[in-house]
Amino acid sequence: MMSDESVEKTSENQKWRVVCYLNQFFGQLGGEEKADVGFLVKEGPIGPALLLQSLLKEDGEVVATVICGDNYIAENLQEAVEEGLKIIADLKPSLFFSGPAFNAGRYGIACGAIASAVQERLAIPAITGLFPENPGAEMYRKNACVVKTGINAAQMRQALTKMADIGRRLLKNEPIGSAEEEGYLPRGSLKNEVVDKPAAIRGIDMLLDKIAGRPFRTELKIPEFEEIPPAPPVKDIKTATIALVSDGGAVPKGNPDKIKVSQNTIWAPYNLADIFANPFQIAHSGYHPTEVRENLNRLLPMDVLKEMVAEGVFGSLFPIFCSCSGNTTTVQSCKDMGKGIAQKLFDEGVNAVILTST
Amino acid sequence: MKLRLESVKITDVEFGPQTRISNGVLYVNKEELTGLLSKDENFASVNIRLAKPGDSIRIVNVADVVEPRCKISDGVDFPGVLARIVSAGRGITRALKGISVVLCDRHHHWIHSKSLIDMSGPAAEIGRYGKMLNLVIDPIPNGETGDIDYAYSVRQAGFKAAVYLARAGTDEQVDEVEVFDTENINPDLPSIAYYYQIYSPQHDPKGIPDPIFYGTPISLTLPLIVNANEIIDGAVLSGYTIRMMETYSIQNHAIITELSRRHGKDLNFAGVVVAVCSMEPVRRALGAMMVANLVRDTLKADGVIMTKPLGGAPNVDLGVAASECEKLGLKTTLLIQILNTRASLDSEMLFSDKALNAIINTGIIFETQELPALGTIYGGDENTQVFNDSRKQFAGQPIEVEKRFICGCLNQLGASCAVAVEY
Repeated sequence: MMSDESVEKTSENQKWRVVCYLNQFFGQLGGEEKADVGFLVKEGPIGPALLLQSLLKEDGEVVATVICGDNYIAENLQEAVEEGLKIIADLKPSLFFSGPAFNAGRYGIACGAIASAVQERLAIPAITGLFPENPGAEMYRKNACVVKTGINAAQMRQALTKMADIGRRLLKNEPIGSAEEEGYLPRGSLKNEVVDKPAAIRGIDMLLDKIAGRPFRTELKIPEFEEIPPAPPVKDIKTATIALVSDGGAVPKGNPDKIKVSQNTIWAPYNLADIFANPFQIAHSGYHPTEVRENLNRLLPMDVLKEMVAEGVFGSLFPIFCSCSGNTTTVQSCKDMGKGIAQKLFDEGVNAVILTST
Repeated sequence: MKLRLESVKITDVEFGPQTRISNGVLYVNKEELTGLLSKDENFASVNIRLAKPGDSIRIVNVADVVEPRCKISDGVDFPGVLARIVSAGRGITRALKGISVVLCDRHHHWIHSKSLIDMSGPAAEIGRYGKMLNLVIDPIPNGETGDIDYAYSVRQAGFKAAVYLARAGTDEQVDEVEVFDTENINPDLPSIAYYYQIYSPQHDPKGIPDPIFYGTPISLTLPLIVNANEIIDGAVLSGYTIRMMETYSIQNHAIITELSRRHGKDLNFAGVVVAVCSMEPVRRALGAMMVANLVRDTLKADGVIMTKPLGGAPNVDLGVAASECEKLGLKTTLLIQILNTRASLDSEMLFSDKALNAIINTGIIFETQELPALGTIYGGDENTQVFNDSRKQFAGQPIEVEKRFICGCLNQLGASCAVAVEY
């Protein structure tokens, strides 16, 4: 969640420098008519930052409040965030807060984008507060700490209390608990925790609840898979170039690109003829590779494909194949690798792909 | 079937001139046991050592853990493995509690099949065997025997030792008795079946499957009905390439034990369907359909709790079987372990059937734990390699190990209290 370096005060009596970001409304410049205002910096805490200051007590001093109009940021997000980031960096904070923005969409995206930039580029703990359905929540929850808030500013005190509490602990390098326990949105990590009851008892109890129609809470949620429409058929197979792609982990001996045997994130292109002609290894721990080691055609059916080319079944076999290992790979990694492979083969004029797996 | 399990509680273990139990202390005649196990010519020699909680001992190359048990009546010890095939699950079985037999396999094997046990430090806190007395069987390979035959010998040695120790108990020393009897069904209670996917052939070295069912390999079987008592009484033993499901955890099967204990109280334990992961889709569909039919029409259950070994392929099999069950109106609950740490609770399931909405997560297997170097190493030496995906590391060093390789930390039969939580 935060950089491993613990942040130190310059002396026992000095408080940590805190900077807050607010939009034009909470920054007390005006309403929608001021939404085009650019960045400005006010000394000390303004608006909700005053409450935040009182919650932080002796642990931090809000040295500045950075204010910007929602439209100014929303209309030019990338550049505006760069501008804001520079301003914040110059203020040298040890801790950064943006919002809370509750359910306000443009403000929420601004808060999330700036907090993420501060966290990732300046390595300064950055906290914001968003209603879970705010579009900024899903976009930025993995990049900064997004505290879950209520739907509007009626919940300001609760939101700031949580934000201040987490912020204080991040500064002091104290451990932060799970998303549910602490009230922030999951950041994309899972950790093992120990509970009272073993899985067997939890499972039987859950099943009895399900049979009886009583409410129960699943410990794993069903993913939403996208429906991917298949590509249209190859127009003329007799002239088509076909490439092989495999997730069976075939790599040149020595595994030069360091494809991992599980939880892999890398793919690499290799020359097909070379991998047959030279020593190779299998970077995949999900199956026993004896048969593939004996005959690589079992994973990469080059022998049959060459015959088919000779017989005129299709146009040509692309000389490069794309290799990766597909063993306990995360869906996101699969998507990323798939995009990379598809782009490369598309750019090279390949018409179709045969994917081999294990 | 009715099984009476008699337990003798062991509070300490020492070597002594005669193998016997006195005041809860198990004395073991080391020479006698060593002699018994050394008869196997696949071993050049056999070391037997003791490891107790708190000792600065790291046990590496752990291939299995077995609870000392022997048959007192109406059966034989480890049928199909040590003796002829006679049904397990009836009569009287005696167990020693608080102590286990740990088997080390020093043959050069696929490194993923080995685990470790530390008797002190973080691994002892999170792994159940680090908190128990362990009798460690550490044979030295003769240098000629192939890996599969050698593995078989190691397992035999473990079961022989388990029986040898259990036979030290006398009738008078039995502290606790538990009866496993689920014959009478109460029509007013919900009936729960258990689907136990016991094996997957995906890691079979050279395609040779493990002989895990009454000493027989069953890697191509279609779903079977097996009595729960048989499973915990030696009919099913851990697959050699399967972690997080040691024989000890099958003998003390968390789900079977809990269902048996609650039978007649808040549920009926309707029975067990045993299955093996299919390696291709037609077989998978056939198996799934059969599971659903067996659970509903033969076991007459209202719901089924389901577990699987290993990783992704068994996960898919499990999901398809569960979907078929739900289609027949059976309620399902699945125990799924999480693989990745950079993930969320909605990205780790490999199926999308919305009916599969009751899932227990049994913890993250790839989460790592840093372990300090310990004073003594059993089952290997300080140069024994310990698996780490990113680097080479050795048993004599401080190491970083995935939790799936800390024996007894995670378990796919529901014994562990670890849960993956979102951060």
